[in-house]
Amino acid sequence: MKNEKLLSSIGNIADKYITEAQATEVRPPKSKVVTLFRKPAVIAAAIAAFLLLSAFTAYVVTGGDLWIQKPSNDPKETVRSAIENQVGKDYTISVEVESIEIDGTETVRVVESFISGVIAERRGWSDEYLAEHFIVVKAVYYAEYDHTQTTRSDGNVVQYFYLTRDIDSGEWTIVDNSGNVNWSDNLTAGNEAHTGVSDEVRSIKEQMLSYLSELFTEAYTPYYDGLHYEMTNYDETIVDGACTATFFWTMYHLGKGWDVAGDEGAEMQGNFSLQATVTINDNGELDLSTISILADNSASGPPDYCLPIEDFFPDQLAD
Amino acid sequence: MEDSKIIDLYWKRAEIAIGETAKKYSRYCHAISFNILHNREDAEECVNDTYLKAWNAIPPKRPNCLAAFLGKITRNLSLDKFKKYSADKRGHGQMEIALSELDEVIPSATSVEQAIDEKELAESLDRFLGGLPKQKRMMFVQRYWYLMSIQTMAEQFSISESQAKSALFRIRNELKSHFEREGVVL
Repeated sequence: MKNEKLLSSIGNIADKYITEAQATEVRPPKSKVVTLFRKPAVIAAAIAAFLLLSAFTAYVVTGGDLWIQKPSNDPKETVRSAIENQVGKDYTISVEVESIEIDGTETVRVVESFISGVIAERRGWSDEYLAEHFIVVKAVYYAEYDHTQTTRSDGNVVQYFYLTRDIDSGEWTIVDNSGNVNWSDNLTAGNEAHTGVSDEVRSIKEQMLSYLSELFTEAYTPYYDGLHYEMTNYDETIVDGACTATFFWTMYHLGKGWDVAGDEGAEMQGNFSLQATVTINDNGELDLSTISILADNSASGPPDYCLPIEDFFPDQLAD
Repeated sequence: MEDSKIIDLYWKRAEIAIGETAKKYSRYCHAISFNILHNREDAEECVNDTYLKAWNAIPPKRPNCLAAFLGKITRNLSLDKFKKYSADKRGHGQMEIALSELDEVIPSATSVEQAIDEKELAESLDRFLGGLPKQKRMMFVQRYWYLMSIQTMAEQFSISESQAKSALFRIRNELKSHFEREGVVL
């Protein structure tokens, strides 16, 4: 057919036209700037939590974090290692660091606004101590991700990293960064570690955890005892106040022995791969009227978040 | 990894070339194939076949633009698969719609005219595209090279679907006039 011949010939047009048109669909333009920035109060709350909980140091360094970092005596090198090590992750195609610099202004602001005062007093930290053990580093880098595996956006990323210095080794470790929370991957509902730290707005992840916990508890309480939950592999992207997060959600409950008698009273678990999208309001809180939780429906290969979580909830006891 | 280094790996017959190609271009190739086939598994198969074709073609070839080189292979493989599907009455995706749109571009032929070959036709298309404003050119290529849906295109250019359809309609008319001016007969 003639139109097939034309379509086939279009396939042989000059490469430059193909690459020119490619840019906007399958390869986002490099000029796009993605600023991953959470509300300062949220970030500060995270830092304060870290500074209060010394046990976190081992956790951040030993793994499970979003940043595969190599603590160094130079905070910029720690950040560089974390960014460059992203290449080792399945979902990262390439990363190119453009600049890394210590942000003295942001460091002073966070310390003065959130850490000094009650927290510092309680811990016995002097201003000099804080000046030597806490720092903010600003990094600009270009990142390209495999979008079949992550919801992160490609482009030039401006990101702030919050580091603390180990008293013994003198090495700097990233404890938090704008956009992603890397210090609380093992956070579970009912874990009191972060409560009482601050009255500031909770991190997005904590709010998400709280919302889902309530949702699941409401749905499953008629059926199960001993409900508690865990959120892992958390990955969060915020662009223009819209947050997209992907994570694994595990619901633990005590078996009823309905199917296997031996399961009665034993702890069981249900696992979900979820994607949450939600708008963040000016106070750094989730606008729950906009939240959508979708479950991965793919049997294999890249995730396909399309099933509303409510579809999984039992309704045997509904009216 | 830079394209030139990936191509060097092909020339050295290092199998890691395929892995590096997949790492950088799997999403790109998959998007092209999926636009045509609308089937994840089939698109994946075409993408894997693309790597094999690239492995067999380089060397002797040394593509100037690896993305376009791979994209063309993927597009051709996907179109072939689509034709097979059409024969099996399983066709779907953007191809049938794009084909029907292209019907109106084809000038009517007289008995004395000789049909142009595909290479000459591509050259004529290049001249046409070269004369278009960038946005129109990109729209044409996205629709008829990448077989992108109208909806996706509208999102790309931040315009409504009806605006995208109108723009494509005008571009097709311009192409028809261009073919008539150049005496192109399909």
